[in-house]
Amino acid sequence: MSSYDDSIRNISIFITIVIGWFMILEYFVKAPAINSFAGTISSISTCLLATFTIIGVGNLSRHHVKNILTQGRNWMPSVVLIVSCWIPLVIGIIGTRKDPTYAYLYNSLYLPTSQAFFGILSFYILSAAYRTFKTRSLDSTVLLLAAIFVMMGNAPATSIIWSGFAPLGGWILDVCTAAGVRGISIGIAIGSVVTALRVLVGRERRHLAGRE
Amino acid sequence: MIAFDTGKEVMLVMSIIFIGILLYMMIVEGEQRKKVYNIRRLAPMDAIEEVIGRGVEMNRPIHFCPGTGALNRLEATSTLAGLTLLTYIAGIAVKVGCRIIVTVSKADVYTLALEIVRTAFRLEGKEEEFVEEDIMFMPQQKSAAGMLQRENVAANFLMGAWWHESLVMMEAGSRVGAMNVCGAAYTLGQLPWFVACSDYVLIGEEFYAASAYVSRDPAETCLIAGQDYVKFICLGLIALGSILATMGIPVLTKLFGGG
Repeated sequence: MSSYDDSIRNISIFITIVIGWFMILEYFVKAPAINSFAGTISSISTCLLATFTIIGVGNLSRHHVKNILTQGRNWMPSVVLIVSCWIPLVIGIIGTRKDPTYAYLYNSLYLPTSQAFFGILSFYILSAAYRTFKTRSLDSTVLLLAAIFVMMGNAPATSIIWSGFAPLGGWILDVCTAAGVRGISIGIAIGSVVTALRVLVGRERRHLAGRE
Repeated sequence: MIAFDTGKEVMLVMSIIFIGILLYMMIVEGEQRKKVYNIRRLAPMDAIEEVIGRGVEMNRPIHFCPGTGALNRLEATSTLAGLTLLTYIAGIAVKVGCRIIVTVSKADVYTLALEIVRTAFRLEGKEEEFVEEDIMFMPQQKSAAGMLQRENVAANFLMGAWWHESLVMMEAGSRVGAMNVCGAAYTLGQLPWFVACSDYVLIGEEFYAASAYVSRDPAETCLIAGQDYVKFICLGLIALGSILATMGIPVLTKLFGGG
């Protein structure tokens, strides 16, 4: 790697360390100047992150324009993508989000298609549930039994068959599941602190394409 | 005028203790004494080379996604852990000549992913083989499902913070016979689907420990050991708090802002 890349990486790490520790300390103090400066830093970072979208959209457009020009594989969907990306973008920039054409495109095209895609999830859940609940081992059998009791406990009519479904399903959720989830949560929280600490002491640089 | 924000004393003391333990483990035990702690076997990490090798044998690409989390939100650590694993996986893929496709839904993460993969090619001396279009920006991550099927990927690495789109991505991978290797920490609600649909899965803190597992670096393994010490303190406090609360002395409960 070139020394230029290393210098850029070192500057990034330095900024991360200074700003990171400042933001942690700011959480524990009450001082209008410091608290307001932290708010400004937060706003600057949000604006900076938003500018990266330009790079992302640029990549997306270049990839699909190239595909259209060379009439590569699936070039027709690329046309749809470029049109559906740039037309609302240009209208939104010129007329802002309140522009009626932009609102129409968003509410009548984007939302329905997005929700239709979301609807596919139910079928995926079904096939995933089928795979999960197939009794192949002791683990999956326990999982299947727990799922049956929780589902039966939540379905109102099942109390006619056996009144114990609801309390048993509730017990599985409140005791077994809660205990497991809390154990995982504690591990995740401490793991997050360790990852953040590695970044804040400049030890972690692989996310910046660096090497140890 | 600088004043201490009252009501956060316990949090400050606990933060100092925890960070102190972790820094001691990293600097003294790891960097000075070079002590290497043993980390229990993580099957998904052991399987990565085999999964990429399968892609080479089948002449099919592999897909990686560092989740749908941004870098300025709570889930940032999961995204960072995902990017760290991308460095490792891209390194192996480039070395063995397997095409790697990366899809990213957040623009800030996109720039980092692009640079990580480019660096992997550069380090192997194959910079001219790097195809920038293989690092794709997909603002709606679930739309990558179609791409997984079109490209007929051999492996589907999903490592980061995930919401509902995780299931779409994993099912799309399963349908083309790809091996799903997943890692998730931030969103607990998605964990059952990861367990159900993945061939290999890193759950919770395993995900954060993965980079130490592959590097075997003394400071990193010592940090994982420090993480366990912090966990033991937490468990001790929970047990003590439960006993005291049961005895009608809710000192710890009140101290930590509960009940």
